Parts: sequence; structure tokens; C-alpha cells
Amino acid sequence: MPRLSTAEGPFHGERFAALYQEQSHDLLVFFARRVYEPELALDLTAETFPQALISRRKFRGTNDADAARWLYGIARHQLHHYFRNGEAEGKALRKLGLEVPDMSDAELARLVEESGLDELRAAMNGALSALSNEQRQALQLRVVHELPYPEVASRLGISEASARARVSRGLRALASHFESNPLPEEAT
Amino acid sequence: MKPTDERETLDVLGERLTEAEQGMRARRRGLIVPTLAGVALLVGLSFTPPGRVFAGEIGDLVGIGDEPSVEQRFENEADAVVVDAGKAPGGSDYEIVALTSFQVSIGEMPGNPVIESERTDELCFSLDIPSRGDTNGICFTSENFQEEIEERVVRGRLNPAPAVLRPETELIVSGHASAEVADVSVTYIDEDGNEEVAPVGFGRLTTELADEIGSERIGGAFYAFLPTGLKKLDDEPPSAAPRRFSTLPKPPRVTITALGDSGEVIARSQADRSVLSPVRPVSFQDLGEDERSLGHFLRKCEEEIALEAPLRPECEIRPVFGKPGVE
Repeated sequence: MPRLSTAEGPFHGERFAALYQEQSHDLLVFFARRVYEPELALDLTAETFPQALISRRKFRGTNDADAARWLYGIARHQLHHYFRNGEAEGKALRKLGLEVPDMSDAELARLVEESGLDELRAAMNGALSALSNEQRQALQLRVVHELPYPEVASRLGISEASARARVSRGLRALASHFESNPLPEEAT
Repeated sequence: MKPTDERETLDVLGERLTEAEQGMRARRRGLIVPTLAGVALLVGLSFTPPGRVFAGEIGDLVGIGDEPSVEQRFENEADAVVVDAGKAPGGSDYEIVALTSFQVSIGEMPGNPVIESERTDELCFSLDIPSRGDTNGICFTSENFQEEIEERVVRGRLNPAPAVLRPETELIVSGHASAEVADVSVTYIDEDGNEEVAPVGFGRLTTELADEIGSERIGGAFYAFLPTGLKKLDDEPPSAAPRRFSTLPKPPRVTITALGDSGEVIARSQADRSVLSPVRPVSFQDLGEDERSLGHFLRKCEEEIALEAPLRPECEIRPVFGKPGVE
């Protein structure tokens, strides 16, 4: 397998292929553990590599570790974009005219297993169940259904300020729970 | 979810990526062809040392169609694309970048939504030196920019070279060309009175590249690298009035020639000669966030620049590239 040594400058051709071969699976798992959806994880993985390909001239590293850090920086940007906008960016895929292939059911099941998603989901359910009903409902409306605060307030029959406070307190409680009960480590 | 063929999904994606990467390289080669033809013609005109050096680097012309290596510093940058890349005299890699930007009304504050009705779209070009993280940009905001650029065919302006290009390059001729221009040749008179050809970087914002950055405008941008030791043109006395920006007393004569696809001469013009000489050069990067639109700066200070009048303190920075139409 060609190495990623990048002393000559930005990688391309075989070196980019090597980066893909070495990192694509781990990156897929990285996304899966953060979005809990294997198909969405594939969309984010599929957007990250074209983005890296397009912007490879910005890479300033010198070795494989630098390349991996750079790639994961792009991946985190994709993740933030998803959390902000509720969808994978898709810009680089469109630019290159690429389509994301479908995963087979067997692959989906394998990714769920490799990513430890069942464990993660169980841990999340446990954390949610530790919240009060009021906080859990507020979080579900705001975070899961992504409703605006006035709508959350309307559905809960409370003021908008109260809705914001419940979501905020719920998130803090979740964070506190996971500080004392860390999620299972990533296998990678 | 439909199962794919027997290959793993990531393998399929990798294969598609490989094909796309090969396609990107092929497209770049296609885009470079006109530039190579232009450089070859330029070298044919004159085997000057800078010409030979520049021609020797044409193999390094890569990256056209890519995103720029340097993060652009325009206030409201939309998308940017490299339209030319190569080496400047002295060996620094450069990129000519085209990007779309926009200005919003005065009073627009960060965090507030942009008022579309008060938004002015801009087409900007920048000469970037990636190794130094240096960008030197200029934006065009005129609604009639496309008509103006087509009518003038080619137009350029002399400016002091950015510090990162010195000492090999003393002056830069920056300018724009109409869409029909395939390349630009820039000549100057050296100290011995001989006409010499300057190394030129020329990029075409084609329809394809313009689509990538959402620009309705197309055309070319060029940057010529002029060395020290140019023959001074005339005996105009220097201005008696003290100025923060003074014209050089004896600016050099520089001729810009626009060439067509077959190397035919389409038009010639003289570079605007009102070279702005900075008293206190300030790097673009040293400006505050809200000052980093050079287009904004030039509009703010264009009256003083045009009239060569004493500049207000807020204009006391170096406009690296002049605004077309400012005589």
C-alpha cells in the first residue's frame, strides 16, 4: 500500500487513495458513534473525503498522523454542519458529481455492531430516563424534533423562557450524567 | 435500503472517488492548455532571463479549478477558485484566485441577517502567496463591470509589489481582461532602453469556473512581475505638496498586450502610471476584521487616490492593487 508521506507537498493520486484506505472505515465508525445513524454516518463520510480531495492543497502536514488529524478536522466540520443544519452538507459530493452508494443490510448491521451503537443507545436511554419528565419532554421536542422554542413552549403549555430553561437544565443534567458515567470507548 | 453488488460500500465509494480525482486532474490539464500556449508565445517574443525562468516553471501550473490554498480575508466571501498558479520571480509559488463577495449597507452589524435589497455583489481577484499566507485582493462592484471590461479589453495598473515578492519584484502590474483574451503580455523598458517582457500570471474566469463561485461575470485577471531597474519615463517634477501617497516622480512605461486564442494581438494599452508609494506600508493581514475588505477601503478612499490628494488617516495604508477606472 502506498504510504501517505507528504514531504513533497499535498497528497494526490495514490497517496490520497492510501489515506482513504487507511481511514475510511474508522471515520465511518467515528461518525456513526456521533450521529447514531449508520446511513447518515455514511453520508458524512462520503462528504468528508471529497471535501479533503478538493481542499488537499491546504494540507500543510508532513506525515501520516498529520494527514489523519487534517482529515478528522474536516470530519468535525461536517459534523458541526450537520448538527447546525440537520443534514449532511453534500457540497463536495455535488461538486465532484458523486453519488453515495447504498449499504447492504448486512453492512448496516455490521456497522451498528462495530460502532457499539446498541451500547450507546442504551447508555443514552439510561441517561434520559434519569431526567425528569419535564426535562425529557423538552429535550425531545427541541433536540429530537428540532422545534423552535416558541413551538416547544406552546406544546408544553409554558412560557418560552421556561422552555429554554428546561432544555438547558436537561442538557446540563445529561452532561453531568455522562461525566460520571462515561460512554463506552471507541474501538478504534 | 438496496443492497449493492458484492463489493463493500466503502470500496465502491473509494472507487468513485478515485475516478473523480482522475477527472479533476484531467479537467485541470484541459484548463491549463490556453495558459501554456500563451506562455509559449510570450517566450517566443523575447528570450529574456525572467521570461525563461517563468517558462521553466510552467510544469508547476497546477491547481486551476481548486479552492485556494490561503484562506481569503474578504468580509463576506462566498466561494473562491484558483484561476492560475505558478512561480513568481524569486521562486515563490503564487495563485491567482477569483472569488465572489458582497457588500452590505452601512450599519449592517455582525450577527444580523443580510438585507438582500441592500446587498451589492462583487467579483474579486487576489494574488496569493501560499507559503507566506499572503493575499492581495481587489473587488469589482460596478453593475456595469462586465460591459466596462468588454469595452476596454485589457487594462492594468502599476502598484508596488507586496513585500513577500521583493526584492526580485519591485512593481506589479495588476489588471483585468475581457473574456475573449486568452493571454496577456506585458513589456517594459529596462535601464538600457531595451524592451523586455515581464513574467505574467494570467487566469481566465471561464463560464465553468464562474459557475463554481456563483459569478455571473467572466473575464481574465493578470499580474505582471516587474523587476528593479526600469527606465524612468519622463521628467515630470515630483509634487511639491507633501503627500502620504505620492506618485513616483518618473514612472516607467509599461505596455500591456491582449492576445487571442491564436496568439493574435487583440488590443494594447499602457498601464496606469499613478503608482502609489506607501509612506507606512501596512500588511493587509494587519488590518482589523472590519477593515479587511480592500474594495471597501478603496471606495472609502478612492477620491483621495484619484485626485492624489492628501489622504485622511484612515486611508493611510497601502492599496496593493488599484481600482480600474481611477485615473
